[in-house]
Amino acid sequence: MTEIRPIPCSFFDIPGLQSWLDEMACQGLFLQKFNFHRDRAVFTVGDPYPVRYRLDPVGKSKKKDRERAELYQEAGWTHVVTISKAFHIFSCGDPDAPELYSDPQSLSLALDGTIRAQIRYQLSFVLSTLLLMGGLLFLTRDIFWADFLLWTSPRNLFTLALTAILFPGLFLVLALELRKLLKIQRTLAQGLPLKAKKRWNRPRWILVWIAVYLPLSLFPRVFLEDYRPKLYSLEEAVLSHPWPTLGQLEGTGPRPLEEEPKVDGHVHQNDSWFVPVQEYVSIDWRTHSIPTDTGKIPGIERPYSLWTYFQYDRARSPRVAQWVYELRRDEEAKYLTRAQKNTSFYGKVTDLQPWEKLDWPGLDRLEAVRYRQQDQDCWTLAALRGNEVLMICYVGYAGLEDCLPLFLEAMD
Amino acid sequence: MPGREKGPLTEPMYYVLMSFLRREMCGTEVTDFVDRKTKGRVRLGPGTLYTLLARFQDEGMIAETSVDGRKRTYKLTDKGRAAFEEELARLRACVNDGLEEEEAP
Repeated sequence: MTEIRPIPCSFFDIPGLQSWLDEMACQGLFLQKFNFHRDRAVFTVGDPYPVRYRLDPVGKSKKKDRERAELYQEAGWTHVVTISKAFHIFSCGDPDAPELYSDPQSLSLALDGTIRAQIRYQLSFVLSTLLLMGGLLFLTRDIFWADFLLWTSPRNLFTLALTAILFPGLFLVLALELRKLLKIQRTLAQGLPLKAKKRWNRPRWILVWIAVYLPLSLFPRVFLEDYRPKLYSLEEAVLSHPWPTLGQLEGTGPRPLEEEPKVDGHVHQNDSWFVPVQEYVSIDWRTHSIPTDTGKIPGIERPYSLWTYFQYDRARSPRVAQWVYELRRDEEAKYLTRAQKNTSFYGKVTDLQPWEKLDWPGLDRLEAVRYRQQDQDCWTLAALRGNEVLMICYVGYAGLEDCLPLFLEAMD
Repeated sequence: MPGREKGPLTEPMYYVLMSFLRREMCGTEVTDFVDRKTKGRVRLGPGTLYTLLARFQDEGMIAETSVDGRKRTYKLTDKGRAAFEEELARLRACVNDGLEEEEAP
C-alpha cells in the first residue's frame, strides 16, 4: 500500500528534507519515489521504525555514483531514489551504521557535483528556452507586430508579454536556488551545521498555480478580447468614406452594368492607438449557387462574378502607415502564394504575376499584382498616401488604372 | 615542494592522508586505520571517505595503484606527502604555541 504526501520543503533544504523523511518513517511511511513534478513523495506504508534518510550529492558520472552506492551498501546504506541533477537519497535502518558524511566539510566538497550539475542544467534550460522563445517569436513576428499595431487580438499580445516577463522570473528563481546551494556549501565548508528551514504549510504548486496559471490563462480569457474587430452588414455599417460601388467600378471598364447590382457583403471595423481607423469592406456579386443540406439553391443568374474587397487604414503617422502598408501587402502576398495550392475552384489562384511597383501622382507607394481566379482576371493593389493605406482586391472587367481614381477621390 | 594550496586540512583529511604514509591502502583499510588510530574519536562516514579519496585523487595527492573488482587501492604521491607534512608542521606549531602560552609564567 502506498500513500502520497506533498513535500513541505525545497530539495535543497538538506536537513529539512532529511528530518521530514525520518519523521515519516517513524509514522510508518517509507519513501519510495517522488512524482513527476517533484512536489509530492510516494511512501510505502508499513510498521513504524526509525530509519535515517540522507541526501548524497550527485557525482561527476553515473558510473562513479554506482560505485559509491556499492560502497555505501557495504556500510549499511541503501539507495532509495535519485533527485535528478541534485541528490541521491539513501536510507539506513541500522542505528549503529556511521553517518554518510561524518563532517560538514566533506559534504561541502561533495556538493561540488550537485552545483556543477545544477549549473549545467540551468544553463541548458535557459539557453534552450531562449532559443525556443526566440525561434517562436521570429516565426510569428509578423502576427505579433500586426497585433501590436492593429490591436486585433489583445489576448495574444498579453499572453506573449506575460510569458516574456514570466520566463526571466523563472530564470531568477533558478538563479536563487543556485545561490541557496552555494550558501549551503559555504556554511558547510566553515564546519557549521545546517539548519532546517521552516516548512511550507501548503504545497508549493498551489503558489505556482496562483502566480503563473491564473494570470497567464484566466485573466486574459475573462478580461481581454480574442478578436476585436466588429462585424457589420453593408447596410448597417457607418463607413469612413463614401467608397465606390461595384456598379461605379464596373462602369469605368468595357462592360458597364445597366443598373447597380444587388450585392452581398460585410464590413469589419477596428481601431487601435497606432491605427485609429481600420475598415475592411467586402462587396460580392457572384454567379455561383449556394449548397444546402437539401441540395443547391441556385443563386441569382449573373453573367460573371464581380466582387471587390478593400482594406482602408488611417495611421497616426506616415511612419506607422508605412509599417501597416508593408504588413498588409505581405499578408496579401502570402495569401496569394498559398492560394495557388488551393484545390477549390473558387479559391484557387493561377497565373500569379510578380508584384510590380507603379508610379501614381499623389501616392507615396503603389504596388500591384495580377492573377486569375474563378477563370477571371483579378488584380490586387497596395497604396500608401501619407498616413493612409489602401489595399484593394478586384475581380471584374475594369482595370486598376480605372478603379484607383475612384477610391482616391473617395479618400479626398 | 608545493603542498596543498587550499588552506589547512580538516581532521578527516589529515587522517586519510596519514593512513597512506606507510603503505598503499584501499577504502576499508583507510576507515579501519583512522578508527584504530583515533581510538574511535574520528569515524569516517562512507560519503566522507569516498569524497576525500576522489578529491585527493583529483588533486594528485594520492594515486590509484590497483583495481580489484570494487576494491581500489591508492598510494600517497609526493604532493600528498608534502601536504601532510605541511599540515603536520602547522599542527606542531599550533600545539607548541599552545604549550608555550600555557607554561608561560
